[in-house]
Amino acid sequence: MLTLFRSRDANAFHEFIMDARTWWAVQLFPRLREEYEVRRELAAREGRQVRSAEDVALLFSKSTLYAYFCWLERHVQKSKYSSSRWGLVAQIAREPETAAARLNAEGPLELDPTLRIPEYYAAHDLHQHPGNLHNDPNAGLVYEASALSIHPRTRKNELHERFVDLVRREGEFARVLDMGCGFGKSTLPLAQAFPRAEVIGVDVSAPCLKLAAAQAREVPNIRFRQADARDTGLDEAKFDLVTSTMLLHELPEDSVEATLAETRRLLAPGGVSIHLDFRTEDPFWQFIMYGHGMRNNEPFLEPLIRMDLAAAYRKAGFEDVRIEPFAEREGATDPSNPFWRFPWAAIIARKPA
Amino acid sequence: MKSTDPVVGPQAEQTFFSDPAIDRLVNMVFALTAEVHVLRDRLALLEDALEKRGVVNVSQLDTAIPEGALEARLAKERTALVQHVLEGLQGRLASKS
Repeated sequence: MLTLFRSRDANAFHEFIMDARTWWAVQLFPRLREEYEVRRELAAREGRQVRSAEDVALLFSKSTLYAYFCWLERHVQKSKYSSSRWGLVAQIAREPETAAARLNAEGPLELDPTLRIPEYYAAHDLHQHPGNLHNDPNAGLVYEASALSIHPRTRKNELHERFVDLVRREGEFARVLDMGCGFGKSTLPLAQAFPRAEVIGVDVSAPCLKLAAAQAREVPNIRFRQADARDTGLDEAKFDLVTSTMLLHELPEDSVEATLAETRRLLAPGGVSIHLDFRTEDPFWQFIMYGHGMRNNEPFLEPLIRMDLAAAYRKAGFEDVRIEPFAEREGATDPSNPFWRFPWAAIIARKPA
Repeated sequence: MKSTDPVVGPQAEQTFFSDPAIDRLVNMVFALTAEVHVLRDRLALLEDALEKRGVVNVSQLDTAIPEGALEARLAKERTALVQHVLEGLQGRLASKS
């Protein structure tokens, strides 16, 4: 039973939205995949092979099922955020006492009123979030609530717990920076996993950082700072681990390169970088992800997947670059998994000692 | 009729069907389905509470006539329902694309 709001009607609406999203991922998506296999086979009989996302797009150009797949992906998200009746933005604003209680709890936070919001960031309302993550004062709360229905069939926080497990396998760390930390969903588990480490989270969104800091007020080894990941203003060689989850695909290519350069600058010699994002070599999944970027107002998702990331890392001065599939839940990366998911990948690299 | 409407406003919604009218129609169906779910949820809560307290006989509700504050409340609910169901017809979104 969802208890996001005092209003039972609003909670029931968001339960419906979550179920609709799950249905899209576990019922409709497998049908789309089946249709793809049929269309691919028919094309092969005519001598046409599928080698790229563009080839897949041609197969689906007149598919009614694909039109509904797209429509639901776009509009379930739109209803969740923007429905005038119970959408997250309207409903959270309607219960200001709850929002104030969550956001006004003083936490370890340093805001930078002089920070210039990057143009590429201000130009789009990411995830169809009206006002985007920097302009809506309740953005942290909206984003937190929205995240509940992003990863169907995945337990709450499971992805971030598994990310911490991945980090542990790379070593013990004492000085950790989490870039693009948002409302602290990955920063908090990192601080709890490494209780003797000093953990800093940076993000450009003040509303998200306020929620992150409020939730971290009882966690002694964590602090948050408003900063651009491309130019954090933090001391050189200060960290032995720099992470991010779901940051790179929100950046244009030159900003990805700038973020990798800043990651390297901040790491001590021998330090480790682990950025979690999306990679896929499969034309069908590339097609699905390029479309997702368009339908979810994330215009830099496709350029990131097309980018030669290993080369970009080497150019930024990293070594031992590994790009590994990441399972957000047990068995998620198994080829027999028929459900929609993000093609997660951990990009692990080391600054030369 | 296949729509050839010009894009009006800076935040024109994406479309996925051969006729944008279908996109907007599906929007109404989706919103209505959400409304029906919320209503059924509330009704189930109410019936459960009433039954446990023995306040009403459910069969009496079939012939009830709402008046006064209840009538006004139902009118307010109806206005919000209409806004919710029909807002997708505008083909706009609140966020920048």
